[in-house]
Amino acid sequence: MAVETYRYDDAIVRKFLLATILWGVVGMLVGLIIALQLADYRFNSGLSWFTFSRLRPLHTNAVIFAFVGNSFFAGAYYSTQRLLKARMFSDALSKIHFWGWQLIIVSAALTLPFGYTVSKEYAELEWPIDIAIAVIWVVFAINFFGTLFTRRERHIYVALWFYMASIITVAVLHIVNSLALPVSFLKSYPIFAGVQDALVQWWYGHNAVAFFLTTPILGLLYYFVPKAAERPVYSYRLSIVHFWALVFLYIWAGPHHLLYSSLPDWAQVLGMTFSLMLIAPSWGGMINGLLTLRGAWDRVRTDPILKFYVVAITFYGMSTFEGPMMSIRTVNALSHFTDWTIGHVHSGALGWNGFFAFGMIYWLVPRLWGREAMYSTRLMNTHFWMGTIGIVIYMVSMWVAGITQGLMWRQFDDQGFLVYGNFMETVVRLLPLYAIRVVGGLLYFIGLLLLVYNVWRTVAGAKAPADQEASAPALEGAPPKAASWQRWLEARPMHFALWTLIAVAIGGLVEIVPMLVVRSNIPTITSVKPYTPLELEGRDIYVREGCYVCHSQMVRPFRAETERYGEYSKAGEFVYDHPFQWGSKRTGPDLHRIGGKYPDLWHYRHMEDPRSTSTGSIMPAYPWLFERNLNLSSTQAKLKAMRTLGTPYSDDEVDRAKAMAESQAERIGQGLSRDGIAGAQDKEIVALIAYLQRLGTDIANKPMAATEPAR
Amino acid sequence: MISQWLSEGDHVTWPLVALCVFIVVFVGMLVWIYRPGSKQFYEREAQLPLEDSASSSKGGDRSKQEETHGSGA
Repeated sequence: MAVETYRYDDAIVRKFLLATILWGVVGMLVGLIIALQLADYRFNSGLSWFTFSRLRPLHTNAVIFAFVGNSFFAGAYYSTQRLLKARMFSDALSKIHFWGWQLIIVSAALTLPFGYTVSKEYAELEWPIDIAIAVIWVVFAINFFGTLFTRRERHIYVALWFYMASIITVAVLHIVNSLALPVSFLKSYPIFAGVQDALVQWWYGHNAVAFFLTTPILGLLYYFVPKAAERPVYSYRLSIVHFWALVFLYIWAGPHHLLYSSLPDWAQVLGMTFSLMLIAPSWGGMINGLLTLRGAWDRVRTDPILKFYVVAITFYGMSTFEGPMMSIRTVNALSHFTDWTIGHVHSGALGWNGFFAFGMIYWLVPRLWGREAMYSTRLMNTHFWMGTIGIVIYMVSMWVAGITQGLMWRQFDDQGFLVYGNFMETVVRLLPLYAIRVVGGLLYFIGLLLLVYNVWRTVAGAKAPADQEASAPALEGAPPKAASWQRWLEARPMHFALWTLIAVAIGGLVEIVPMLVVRSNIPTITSVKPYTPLELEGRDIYVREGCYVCHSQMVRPFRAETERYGEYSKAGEFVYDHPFQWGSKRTGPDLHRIGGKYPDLWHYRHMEDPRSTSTGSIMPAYPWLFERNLNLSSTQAKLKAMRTLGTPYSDDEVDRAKAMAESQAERIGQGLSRDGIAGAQDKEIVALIAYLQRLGTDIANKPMAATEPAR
Repeated sequence: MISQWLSEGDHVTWPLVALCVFIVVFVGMLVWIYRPGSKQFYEREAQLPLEDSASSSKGGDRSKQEETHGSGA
């Protein structure tokens, strides 16, 4: 058996590692800024691109895809080569992957704050960037599977299964959820509408959490924790159970983001059931991770890297307990739309993803730059404690905020009236908690800066060593006649990948296909009509400004909500909504029944200075809507695109789109001028007012020919 | 056609079908993984991350172990 000598590509790991740190700082800094903006609206500063609703998508994208994404790539490139005893398939593909991904991140940072967004959470990027993501992802996949084919190790370790499943599933999710019809370069409409769009989005959204933030990092865990603990994983068999159970269960769980919405009940129950089942494999995985440290617990006291891992795994357990609990419909009725959700995602992001990345960085940096150890163990310990305390402060403040507000929304007095009928009463109560959250976030961020300093001192002056050399016998001939299908499968990456894809596809298909093809899931309401050209333009402004970040458009069928907002939302009302705007958080009140509730002047004043109409509001002002001229140059193209997607605009409407929009704007402008406001009719604000005044009004136009959704 | 077929179906059955498919797959997987004699095999798999210093002697050990295991199974 000929022994071959080869070198691992360590340079690419160093690159991804530095990118992880850089984007971590950027993403968390933006997080800190938007936390300040919630604590005090004046931090919005009146600049359009610096406003909360524009920055929040940047924060989520930067942390998920830039920080966690790069940490996954760094860890995957390091471990894949070593587990397979082979250099990456192609250095060129590795470089394209690295620079392509960084370019995508930069383009996200250059589009999201300027309002180029599809508004689907964690999938906000416009279509040209979506295509770039798909291409770079395929490059990564080719590089990864290519390495599998050129490997010198017969057996494929479980960490690589997690990588494989993640690569395949993210590709499927990204492509399906990004299907859109471009109107122009940086503007597109998703092909799905309303309820269907919501289901596809949250099928994606939840699985972005599953297959971008969880399974890749679990793969890293099964490699890096045994490495740091210098002992094998506690139970390899449990890790296999963990893998298959997660891959099969996760994909169904998406509808738990849509409980009590207009989504049909069968889909809601399906989502809730599978979410609850997820607790078993997740905790199995957590226990497996923690028990890997059996016999090494004394080292956890002295080795900060192990400390980071232990806390990361513990937070994995905590958030995978909290998640299923929040998926129970009755719990969700309280927690949904509140800050509890925000607390939940941050226990995952800060605790699990962040701490795992930090542990891995501290372990890798000395090895990759040829140093004995990190510059300062004390700083690592300080980082650890600041981070841990920061997370706890963050989470507890959000739990309190979420439960407080959730309870206030639903509280009735003994006369049967809402106790807090004014939404603002429930907002001002939260401001101290928002301030506390800033403190938690700040501690965590300073901890990260300590890491930056520590890494810099470790790396400074170090000459990156040459790629590590290794040797192993080549893999010869066909795999031995395996005694079992499992081993047969494990030795054949493409078959394995195919089975993973099938497991994932079943979940997607059974859940989504009926939703897309079964008409009775969305009972039509004949009085619901397409938006007028001006309303459509206004809707695009609503999307551009990111209103959905703080306002839902989904009145749930609870008395507390119908009292506060009006008639509950029905599936048939959203059939022309490309994309849907249900939102996931109510920092402000629901807007689905806002149409006709206030005069145009109220909306005008409110957008100009929210405090003038709503005392105590923390909403930023949107002064640029009053300065920018309404641009109707692509209205006709937008109507055409909508018609292609199935909205029944007549030829006449498409032909006269611009004129119709102008005359409607004129009418609104005249109304405003009677109230003493001149010259508004050609500004963007009129389009937004037109849209807001239309919202949720169609079902009031009797007769309602329709069937209510079966509940 | 498919939409008609799906429309006529009872939607309550969907979650049940899903649950049954899941249970069959899951129990099957468990039985397989915990089949007698698998422990030895998986214990060696678990060593993979710890042997990547890639000294060729270790590689040799592994292939020997595999042979013994193969004959045992």
